Amino acid sequence: MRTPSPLHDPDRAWSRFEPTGPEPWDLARVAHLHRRAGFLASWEALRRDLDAGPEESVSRLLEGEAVALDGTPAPEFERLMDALARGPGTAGEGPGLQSAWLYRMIFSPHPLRERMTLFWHDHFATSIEKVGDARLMRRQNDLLRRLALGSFDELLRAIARDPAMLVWLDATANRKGRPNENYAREVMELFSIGRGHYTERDVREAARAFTGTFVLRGTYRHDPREFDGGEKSILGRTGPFDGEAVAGILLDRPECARFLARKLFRLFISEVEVPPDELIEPVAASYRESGYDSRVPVEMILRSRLFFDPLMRRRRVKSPVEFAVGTIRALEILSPTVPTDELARACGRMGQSLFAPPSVAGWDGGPAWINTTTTLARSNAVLALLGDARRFDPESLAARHGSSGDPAAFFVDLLAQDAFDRDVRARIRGSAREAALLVLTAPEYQLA
Amino acid sequence: MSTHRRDFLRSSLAASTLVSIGGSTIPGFLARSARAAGIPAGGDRILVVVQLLGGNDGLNTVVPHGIDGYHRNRRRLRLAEARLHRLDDEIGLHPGMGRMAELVEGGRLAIAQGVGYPNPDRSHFRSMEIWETARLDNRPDALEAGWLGRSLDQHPPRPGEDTPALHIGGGRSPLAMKARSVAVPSLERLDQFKLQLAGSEGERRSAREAMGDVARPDRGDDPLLGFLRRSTLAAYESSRRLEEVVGESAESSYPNYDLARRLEQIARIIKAGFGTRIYYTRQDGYDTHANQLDPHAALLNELSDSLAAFHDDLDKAGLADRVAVLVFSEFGRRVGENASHGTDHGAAAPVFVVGPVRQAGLVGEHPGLEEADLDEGDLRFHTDFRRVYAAMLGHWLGVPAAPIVGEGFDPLPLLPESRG
Repeated sequence: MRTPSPLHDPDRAWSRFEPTGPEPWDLARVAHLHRRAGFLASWEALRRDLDAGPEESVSRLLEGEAVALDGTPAPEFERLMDALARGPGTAGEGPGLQSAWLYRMIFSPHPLRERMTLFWHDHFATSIEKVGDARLMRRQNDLLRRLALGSFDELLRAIARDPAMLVWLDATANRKGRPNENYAREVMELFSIGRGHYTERDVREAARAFTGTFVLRGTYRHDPREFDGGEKSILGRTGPFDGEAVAGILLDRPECARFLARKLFRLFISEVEVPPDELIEPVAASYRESGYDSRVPVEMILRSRLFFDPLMRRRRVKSPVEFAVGTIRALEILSPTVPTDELARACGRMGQSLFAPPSVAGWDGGPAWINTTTTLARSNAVLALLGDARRFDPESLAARHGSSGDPAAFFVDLLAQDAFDRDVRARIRGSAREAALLVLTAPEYQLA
Repeated sequence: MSTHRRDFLRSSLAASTLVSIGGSTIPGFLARSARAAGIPAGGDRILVVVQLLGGNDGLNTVVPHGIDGYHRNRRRLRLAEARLHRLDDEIGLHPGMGRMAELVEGGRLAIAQGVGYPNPDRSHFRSMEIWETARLDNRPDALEAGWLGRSLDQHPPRPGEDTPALHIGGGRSPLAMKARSVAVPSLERLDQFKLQLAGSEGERRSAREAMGDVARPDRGDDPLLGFLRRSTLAAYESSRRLEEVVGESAESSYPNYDLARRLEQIARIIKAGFGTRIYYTRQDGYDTHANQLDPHAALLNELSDSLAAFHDDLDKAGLADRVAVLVFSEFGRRVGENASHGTDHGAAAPVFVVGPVRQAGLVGEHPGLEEADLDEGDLRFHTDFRRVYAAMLGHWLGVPAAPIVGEGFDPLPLLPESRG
């Protein structure tokens, strides 16, 4: 690349994107927005947002649409989904939960909120494999969704009292004199300030602050008799701190907003480039100044020149869930949609079982999504979609959008836009079904 | 993901150390050395672990018919000496293990006796944790990775390589395979490793070619896209080779058992020239608390015939010297039988190793059966299982064993050392 990297000019990078002659609001930018901040979009939604411009399109993602993809008004849809997640068949086990969440993502009027819920699920990674109780996992998921674009301050405090998290980290009986260090360590290392910004002594002292924490029959309890009320010295501050106070101390550290801003950069901009500190700082500062309102840095990123810079396209590997849900939404496989229990299993084969991340560090993500087994699983998921004539007919999708004459061009525009170099693009041809297969299995389509 | 791991991934993307497999001209085995997963040295050696779930009654598997205590303790469950497959004057294999006895005669099976660990835990769950992690302590990180998983973490696979380890069977990957750096896939069926193309053979071929064409590397690729292309081509190439192999062996020489079918899948993957070096599968049903004789005989019969079929298959392909199979269970059973014609949870038990063993037959003494020899009615171990693991890691795979099993566990001389 001969052009100066957009990463080294923070002022320019974070200034607002305004369409100009050389940088128009075009299909590639509209689609990029939906790829990163939603789960792709139907042809109709792409056209609509192309007409609407960036301002309105980003606002719509931040606020959510008025109706879900099945035509239900948004508030009613959310109520229905909450009921579905609580319903029979999901009450006792993981597969039902996975199904219900995938269904919600496919039809959601608010895809950005679901993307952020998934982001927090990875950040506060908790697995039903150990928790064993689907009810607790669902409650945690409700919490993550409620605060997905809301207060991280509240979220960090709530997660310390979240029964699923406490079971997961063996912190269900934290007694005075025998403090459990597990939560104290993870809250620093993985949830707030990151490695290298605390000492082992900070962990030990914070563990004392979390004493008195119990989970009894799936409910959080604080037992004052088991709380160690003595003086603790944590990250240079001293006092008779409890868990709440520790959360406050962590949120006050500048590293906390930076740590989260870096993660948001990975989510929305690039998994490949390492952002320099000076590029991260403005996002971290706005996050801190807002009192940790997660919507603030997200909006700042989604409206920025950097976000819409063509050099930042396809710098991430789509996660399996992103890949599956996005494909279904773009191809309008909605009535009926794919059986979501089967979809959950397919995502598992691609390396991502919802509610069952591999460890407290979540999924590695990035290039680690890709290996022989998972690549074949992606291709096989595509072949299964294309082989299901009852649910999906590529010919009629192309015809419905007036592109029967050149189905290959239609599927490239719908799914990948500017992704292909000219000679790769020339290899995509054939019937609607063949062209769809070639785009969906293309290496370029695995990137976001 | 840790910063370190991300840097590692990034640098390996940038370094473009991966081979690109152009077209279908590279035979599987040539391509394999370039794609073999990250475990160094000894290059092509493969380890297959078979876990017997439930606690196998070692005393009725490797039977000490010539030791008095056997007859005293096993009145109803006693196996007749005449029907055993004789290993020496005192010890014989269970009547259902004829094929394994042949493996001993052929110099291909070693049996380590009296294997266990201090302060044996008789909970299935806890004892499996101990065996699968090679950790006896209760520190928080003890269960974060399994013994094989930690070997994968020492030498993480580079992006685009075949998965370094595979679990064949239902359910989640075993704790033994749990790693920080890599998620070990679980495959129930090989067709998950195949491209599920529909239509006639010609249609399938042309679809595959068109897909491969789109993935073919391009001059201007940036490292991330280049990595995706190479991975995609490697995946298609793997699946194509696998189909070839599966096509060749429509006639199965394996007996009709679940374990045999899983081992057959492993053999097919090995023969297809995959880079995978570690395989894991399980056989369930060994928790024989009641009316043990018939079900136990059926299990050992399945184990023995399946292992032998697997060995013969690899032998025919000229691969038998590259593959070692380790067979273990979370504990043995009590020396005395219980009132329900079964046995309860015990401690020490034998471990089997199939492959190019240094010395076939029994390794180590049978644990004593006199009252004074026993540990609360259980066989007392004399060989720590971590010495067996040290042999699998250090001698066989060429991976430093001490960081994984701890210091002071001399590898048991079971397998030839790798010349790394």
